[in-house]
Amino acid sequence: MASSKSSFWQKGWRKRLRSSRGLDVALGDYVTALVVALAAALLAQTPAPRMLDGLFFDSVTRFDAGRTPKVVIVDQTQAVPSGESAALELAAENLRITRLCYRVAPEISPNSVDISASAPGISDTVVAGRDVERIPAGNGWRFAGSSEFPANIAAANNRIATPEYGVHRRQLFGQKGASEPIPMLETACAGRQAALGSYLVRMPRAQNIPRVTAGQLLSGEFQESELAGMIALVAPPSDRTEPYFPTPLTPGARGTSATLFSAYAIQALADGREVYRAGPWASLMLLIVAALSAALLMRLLPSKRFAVLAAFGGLLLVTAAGWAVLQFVHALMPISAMLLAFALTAAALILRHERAQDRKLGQTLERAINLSFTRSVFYDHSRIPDYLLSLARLLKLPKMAVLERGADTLWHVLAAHNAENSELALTAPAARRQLEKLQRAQKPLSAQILAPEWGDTTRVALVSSGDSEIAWVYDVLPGRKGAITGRVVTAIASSLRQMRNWQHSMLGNADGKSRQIPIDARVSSAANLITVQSEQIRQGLDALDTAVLIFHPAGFALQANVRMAALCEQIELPLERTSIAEAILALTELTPEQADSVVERMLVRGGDMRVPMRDIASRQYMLRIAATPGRDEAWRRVVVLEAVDVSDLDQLAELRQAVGVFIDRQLRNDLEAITLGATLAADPRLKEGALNRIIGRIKDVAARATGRLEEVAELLGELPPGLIPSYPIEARNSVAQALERVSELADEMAVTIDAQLPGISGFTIAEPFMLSDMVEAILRLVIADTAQGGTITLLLEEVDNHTRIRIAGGFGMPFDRLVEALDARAGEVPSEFQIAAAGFAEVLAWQGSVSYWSAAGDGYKFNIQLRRIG
Amino acid sequence: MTGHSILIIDDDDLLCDMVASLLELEGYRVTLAHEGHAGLQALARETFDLILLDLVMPKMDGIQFMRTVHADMPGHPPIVVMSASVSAKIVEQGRGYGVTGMIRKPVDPQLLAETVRATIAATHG
Repeated sequence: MASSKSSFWQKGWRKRLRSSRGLDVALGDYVTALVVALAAALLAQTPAPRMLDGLFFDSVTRFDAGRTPKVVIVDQTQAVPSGESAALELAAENLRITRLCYRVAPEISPNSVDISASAPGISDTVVAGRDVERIPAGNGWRFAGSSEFPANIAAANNRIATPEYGVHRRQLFGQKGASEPIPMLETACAGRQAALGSYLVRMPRAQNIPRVTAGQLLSGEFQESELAGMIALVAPPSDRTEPYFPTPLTPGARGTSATLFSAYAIQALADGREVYRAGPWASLMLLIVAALSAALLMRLLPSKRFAVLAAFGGLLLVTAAGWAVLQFVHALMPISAMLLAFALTAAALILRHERAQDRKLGQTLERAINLSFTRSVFYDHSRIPDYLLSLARLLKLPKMAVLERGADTLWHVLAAHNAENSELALTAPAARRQLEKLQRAQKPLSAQILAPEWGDTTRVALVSSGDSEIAWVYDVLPGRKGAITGRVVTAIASSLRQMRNWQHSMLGNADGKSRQIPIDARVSSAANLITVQSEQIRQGLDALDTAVLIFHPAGFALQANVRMAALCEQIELPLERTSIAEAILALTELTPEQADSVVERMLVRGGDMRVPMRDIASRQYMLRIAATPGRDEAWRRVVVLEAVDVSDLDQLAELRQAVGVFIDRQLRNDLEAITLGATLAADPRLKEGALNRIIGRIKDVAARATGRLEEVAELLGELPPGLIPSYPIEARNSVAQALERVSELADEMAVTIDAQLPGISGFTIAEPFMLSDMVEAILRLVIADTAQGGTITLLLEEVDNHTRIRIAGGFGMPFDRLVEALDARAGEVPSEFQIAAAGFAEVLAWQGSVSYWSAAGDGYKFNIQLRRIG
Repeated sequence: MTGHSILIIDDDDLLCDMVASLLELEGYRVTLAHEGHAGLQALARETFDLILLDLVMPKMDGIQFMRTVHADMPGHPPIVVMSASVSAKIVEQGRGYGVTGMIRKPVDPQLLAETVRATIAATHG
């Protein structure tokens, strides 16, 4: 009880341990993802990802659809004179232009007020861009130049933010002033609040930014409705140099003017479509989400092939998410870092899972090594010469030697058969070259150079390479026999070398060379070696004298030798679809309940039992059912069915019994007669003539008894090898058994068998099982050919020196066809006639005779005549 | 001299001869038949006081003989089976066919003489 309880707890712990291992693996995956996310977050701060994100932004926004223009650029052919700026403002007001913004402030009249005092005067409709300069001894900015500025003109900072890695796509909302932020020109023009911070400017190619000249505005060329609600951005006079720089519109060149850039910025701000970069914390969160998504995806996918595909799919998804967020949320995610985090996590987990698989594979490999290597000659190198010497004796090789390459790279003789070490010239340059060639040679090479005194049929083969190089020098006898031996030796040497190569690969770990030998090569070697060994074990099973079938504990067949395959074919038992219980049911007379009980016992406790089998093709078998005992490692246990042919034993037992019965009965009669004769002879009433007659009778009986003993001795002595022996049997019993076996078929076919058997039988020379099977086969043949309601006659009669069995009935077939069927060559006899034909052959061996006759419509007649004694 | 007649049916002619000699010494008249059909013919020709019957015989064995006699010859003489093949089944069969005694071979001469005497005495009062 204690042990089962402990076993229960052990199982519980194992289960929990397995489950916790699964948890560990998952946790490990997610920790890896987090580490990757943190690394990507750090990477995201470096120039490359930011540059890539910028390019992503440029690529996406460049192809945005254009919006309704909200900005019109007003070009000046020359600077608007101080007096005329008021006219331009008036014209703008008349055209209901929302705001008039000077990219560069017009010249200021001395009467103007200080615009810095009115900043942020964005309620004003005129904004003028001005340069700024750092406040001395402060960390803010102020407008440069004159502080005098008209009160109705708002001043704004007209600087363009510094480029991002050479491309201007970013603009500030404002810069820090003495007390509050100084708005940028675009912020002021768009009517937005000045603030610190920046945004990215969308610059779609399809965006229409109209351009007019100041002269057109002043001359009244435009209707009020044409420019109403728009913001007019007055470009610097054409006589002033305006800066040009690369932007998303012109990424490769300085093709975008500051005014155009400002116009796009104003358009974006006015549309509320300026884009914000994700902040550091948001970026970190996004990177964690990307990495964890990759981890989740890798865990959910069943195989590496899918994992790689899914990783690509995931990357596309991240890119699509970046596009969607940019378009609808107006934010730029750290897209390149996210892609990097996703890809790195996926790759790291694929590698991690691969390593785990390799570890598992390595553990499996260790088992394979233990399984195959420990059974191998190479497990102990020192034994190799012994095996080869033994082989040389078995194959009658005239001479042989085993060589090994030492640490000094020279070859030395390890062992020799019928040869002295001095006969081998291993140090000569030609010999060394020949030995060097062995590494590349696929078959044995001539070794006359190595052993000049040996025959010209001397060969050398490499049987082990790698960490230990062993060569086999051998000579074979000349002539045909020697050639055959040579081929055998070549095959053995090649097999040893191949095995050694595989084992060398497998043992990569053991000799510290695992780094040089990839796991797949090692596994491949293990698989090859195990396959070869399995095949050799299968051949060993085939060589067994008994029929063997091995089952997995789950119930399916693992291996069957050829004898068992043939047996199963005879009873039409499909091995590939048969469970243990089904096989036992088909092979034995056990009931389904008994078969289940046997299987249960074997699976749970193991053990060994023997069950009589059904007769198959007139042979008797005993079925041995065995499984290794013990409760541990039950999953490794196999169940073995072994069918042992006991026909000969049965026949011998039958023979012994029959001879015993025969001698008992017949000699008893004879001795009885002698006893009776002696009693009579002693009777004083007997007259002399009668006494002489009785004494003569006693002699006759004694002679008869001696004759019978000689007859039995002759029967036992005349058993031809390979033939079923014949001996005195009670033929009635064999025929009655056959009759009983066909009675069910006769009932099914509604056929009556009129059987006339003697009430008690004498002794007939035959083999009881064969006789019974033959009669049964003939009866089945005739029953199958008899119409419903028909009758078959079966007669067994014993006359003086012979016993006759007659079977008649059925519809019949043409005589020549019956002869053809029964006299066909072995292997060509139709299946329904096979047992009868085999039986007829045996009858002749029993010194009996068979005759048969048939005609279509007249039925069959079979007459079997056997010797009768006693 | 009893003068009673006995039919011995047995295919073993040597044994038949000796049993006949023994019974003749006891004063019986003995007729021999070496198989069932010959026995039936003898029964048809003569009247017997007892039949000594072997079971294992060619052509018509003892069981078939008993079956035939029982079916075709009501009031047939008592039958004593004399066989090495005496089994419970045969004893059962024999009772059904009017067998009055069984002697297992090898035959004890004294037992044979007593059985014959007792059977005939029982039949003839």
